[in-house]
Amino acid sequence: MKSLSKRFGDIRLINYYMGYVILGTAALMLIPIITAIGFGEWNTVLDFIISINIALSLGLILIITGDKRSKKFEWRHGLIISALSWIVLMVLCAVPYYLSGHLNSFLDACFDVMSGFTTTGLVLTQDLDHISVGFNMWRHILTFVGGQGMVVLALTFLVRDTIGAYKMYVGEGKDIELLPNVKNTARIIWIISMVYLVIGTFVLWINGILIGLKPVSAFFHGLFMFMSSWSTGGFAPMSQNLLYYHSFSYEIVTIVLFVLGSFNFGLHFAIWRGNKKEIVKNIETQSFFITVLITSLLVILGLTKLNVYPDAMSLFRKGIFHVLSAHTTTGLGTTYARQFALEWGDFGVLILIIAMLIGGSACSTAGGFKGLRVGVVFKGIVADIRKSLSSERKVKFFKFQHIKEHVLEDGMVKSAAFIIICYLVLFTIGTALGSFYGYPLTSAAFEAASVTGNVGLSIGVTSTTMPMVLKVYYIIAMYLARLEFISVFVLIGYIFGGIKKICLKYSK
Amino acid sequence: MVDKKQILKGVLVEVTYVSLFIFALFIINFVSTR
Repeated sequence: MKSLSKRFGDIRLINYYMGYVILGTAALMLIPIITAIGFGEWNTVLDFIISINIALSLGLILIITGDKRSKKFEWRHGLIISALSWIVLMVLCAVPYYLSGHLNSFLDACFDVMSGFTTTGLVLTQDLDHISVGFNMWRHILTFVGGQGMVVLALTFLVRDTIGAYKMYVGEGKDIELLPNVKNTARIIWIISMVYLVIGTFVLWINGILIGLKPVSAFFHGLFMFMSSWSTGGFAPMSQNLLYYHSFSYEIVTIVLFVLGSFNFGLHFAIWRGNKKEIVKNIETQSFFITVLITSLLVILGLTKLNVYPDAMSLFRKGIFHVLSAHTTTGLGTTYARQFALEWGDFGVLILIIAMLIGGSACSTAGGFKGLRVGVVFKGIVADIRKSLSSERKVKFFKFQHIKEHVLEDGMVKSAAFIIICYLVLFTIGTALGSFYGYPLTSAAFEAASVTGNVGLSIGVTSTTMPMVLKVYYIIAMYLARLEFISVFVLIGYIFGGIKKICLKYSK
Repeated sequence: MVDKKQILKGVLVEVTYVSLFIFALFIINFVSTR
């Protein structure tokens, strides 16, 4: 009985914080409502009023039934709140999607929301070119906010004393403290994003006008493309994605934005504080620049051999662009999905798969197993070789630069290798499942890498007609990869622990 | 915290480095296809 009341204490604590996270999401729905009112899109306004009411009701019920003092805030609470919030928010945010009438089923709506939250960018929304501006705003807000961290955002602004904020912050896959207080750290992340929001939207807006868009349309296209690029999301307001603009300058601006978005927030902050050399010395940027260089060269070689793109310019705009888009896990595209399967050849596709799996930086908006882990594992291997070569009496220390100087420890290498293995397992299962349902191996692997790395590039597998099991697996893969496994494992352990205790109680 | 001038300097440094890297990729791409 005591253990059951203990568990109720846990649940009340979790309810309290989750209630606020849901209220935060309900507040976000005001932005598409205002946009839709501005454009006279009354159906969209109604969809969001219904959705906001559902979210408000659930949020308030959870806050009323919750109690932040029912239990001492522990690590597991932070991780469980993060992992559970993402599932609840997926369902709540899918309501306006489903009501819009542009999704074939509620599962498709959940798929698109998870794709947005996790900054993946795969799309099941139908007739994308004719959706309302308000709905488009919602799609891009989800991807923008998802990139910075939903849970921490809501709690930073809504809850005064976030005792466990850092624990939730880690639960969302961000484990860097830029300032001693986690609230200030979250604020710094938002200041960095907002500064780039203003600059990026302005540049894309002007660019949009120059390529012939009307000023109002150019502004919203600029805003949406900024949100998508900076959060390494991959959504676009038009079904042709970036290809719609047919503009080299637009592509260059988005490249700069998504490369910057794939950098660690700690790196941005260090540079803003005057530590310019960090961008060259940091293990993550070193790892990123080296792997981008290698994958770019290999793609150039592969595509040149097949003579897919006849000149250097088109090779850059189609080849290098997609390497960067895949490596930063953005997923913006300048070709049609099937062109990868029909024109790129297996070698080009393989290189893109590798780039998608490596991904961007830790504590950024990017996915994949991250440059930091690649760098740490690589340094670990080099250290092991050097230790084996040197005399046994010498005790050697190996260091690496990541915001500050770190001594390479075995524990770091092990945990980095563990997460990389988790990603590879997720990718392998996705590939096997895709090929089981009859997709060619390269296509199955490409799509699996895209969901595992939270990228969003598609080879044509993702569609409303794909098997339901595959849709569900892709949702799980995007979710696990974005939260970097640990918080989800804790949530699963907590649920199983509860079930086991109830079973034991009734079996006695 | 960071003041406005420092933020603008930081943005300029970041954009310059990334642009240089993209330009280097463009040159490599151009040279290797000739």
